[in-house]
Amino acid sequence: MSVALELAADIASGGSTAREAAESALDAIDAVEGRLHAFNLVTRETALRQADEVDRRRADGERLGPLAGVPIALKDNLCTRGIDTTCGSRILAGWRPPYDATVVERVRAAGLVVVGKTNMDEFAMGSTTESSVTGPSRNPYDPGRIPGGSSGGSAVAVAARAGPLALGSDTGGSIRQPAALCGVVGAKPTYGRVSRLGLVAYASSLDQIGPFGLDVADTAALLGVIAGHDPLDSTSIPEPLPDLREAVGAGVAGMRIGVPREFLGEGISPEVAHRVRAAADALAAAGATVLDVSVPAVSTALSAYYVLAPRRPPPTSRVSTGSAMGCGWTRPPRRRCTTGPGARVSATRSATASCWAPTRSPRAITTPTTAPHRRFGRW
Amino acid sequence: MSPRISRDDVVRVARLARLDLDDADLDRSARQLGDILDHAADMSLLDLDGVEPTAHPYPLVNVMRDDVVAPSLDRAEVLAAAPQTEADMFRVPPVKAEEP
Repeated sequence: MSVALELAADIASGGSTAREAAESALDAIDAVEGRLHAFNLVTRETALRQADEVDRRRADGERLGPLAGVPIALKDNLCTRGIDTTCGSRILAGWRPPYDATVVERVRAAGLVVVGKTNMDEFAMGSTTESSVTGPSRNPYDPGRIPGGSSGGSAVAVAARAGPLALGSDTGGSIRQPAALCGVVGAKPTYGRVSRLGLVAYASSLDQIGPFGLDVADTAALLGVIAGHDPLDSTSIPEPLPDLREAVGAGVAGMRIGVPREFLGEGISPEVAHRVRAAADALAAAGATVLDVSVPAVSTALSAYYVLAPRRPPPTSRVSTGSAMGCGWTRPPRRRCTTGPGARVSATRSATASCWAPTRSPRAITTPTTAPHRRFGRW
Repeated sequence: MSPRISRDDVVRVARLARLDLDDADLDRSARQLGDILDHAADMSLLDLDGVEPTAHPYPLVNVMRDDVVAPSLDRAEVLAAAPQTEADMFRVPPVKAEEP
């Protein structure tokens, strides 16, 4: 169901136009926005102008990319020149950045049409999209439940078919978790793969901008548009991008995929564990070799995150001691440490070595993304 | 839960940060800050001897460029975002009283 790629192919072949695609997305936004509140701003006029420009470029014989003409929504912490960028906060109300984020330049150059700025937790600090000054976004599958966050509006926009693609940003799960809760595909790229220029920072050494889509092929195609070295972001990786379309097309046959057992232990809900096992089964059915692996360091991941990416209250400790923002597991019980640090770490090292020896190491791992949907409440 | 951070500590930090916290805020903040310190304590239990610090997953070194003039943002457009400007500069409230 590569909605975006198929739409772009249809536009490229003259079956429809970027203008029609933009109008259709804007109508879809109008139809769902009152119920779901995915957007802080809908950029109707600039979208239609930009769509006309794409149609004109094509008519002039310009060769456009694989997603040209496709509508896209941008998280409201991505700088858009002359267009309000609020980060879900009143502090930035009325601010219009004097430049576009690199990813915004790239999506526009590739002929994607920006239809609006999506709702988010204030300054991306949260995992529910409840802390936005414009009010919460709602899960399209049940408006009484959270859509996840902080890129909740982007996930909702794609899930509600108010445009087939969106960009979000992910520091500690802010793309992956709302994507999971809204039933769409979301990816946090490797740090440095996508330029952060023009992303309003949360924790600069962890932030990455990444794509949302309705399937893996669409999402990979969008990553292909935004990724790559940017001389204006000194942390971006100066390496050519691998061919993501080829990688997606290659499938998983023969690939070694690990399922770290630490993610399926204490604190996980039965329904989430069930879905993870179902996913592992599906991968195995598609020809992957699914391995039970152990990654003991996972037990300190949450603590490491909270040391590295300090947050302000109130989401802080409520989240960290509760269901662990978007990770589906709880803070490790103290008793794991009672054997003393030496014993624990040597066990960690040997277990890690046996699982991750280069010749045997899995190419990828499959884990839960989040605890189940919860209803709205005080965050 | 061990009281890793006392209410008095929170009062002091709040004063330094110019935060006006009521009694309930103080108790909640002490608990939350204690939880964060628990996370730090978890990390300190790890034996990291011989583990190289990782600042970036890719071996990047300092990124340098020649010091040459290049196109920049439009000054008028940048200044348009400022609440107050003066002589092509941002105007901000004084942070220190003027010399007598």
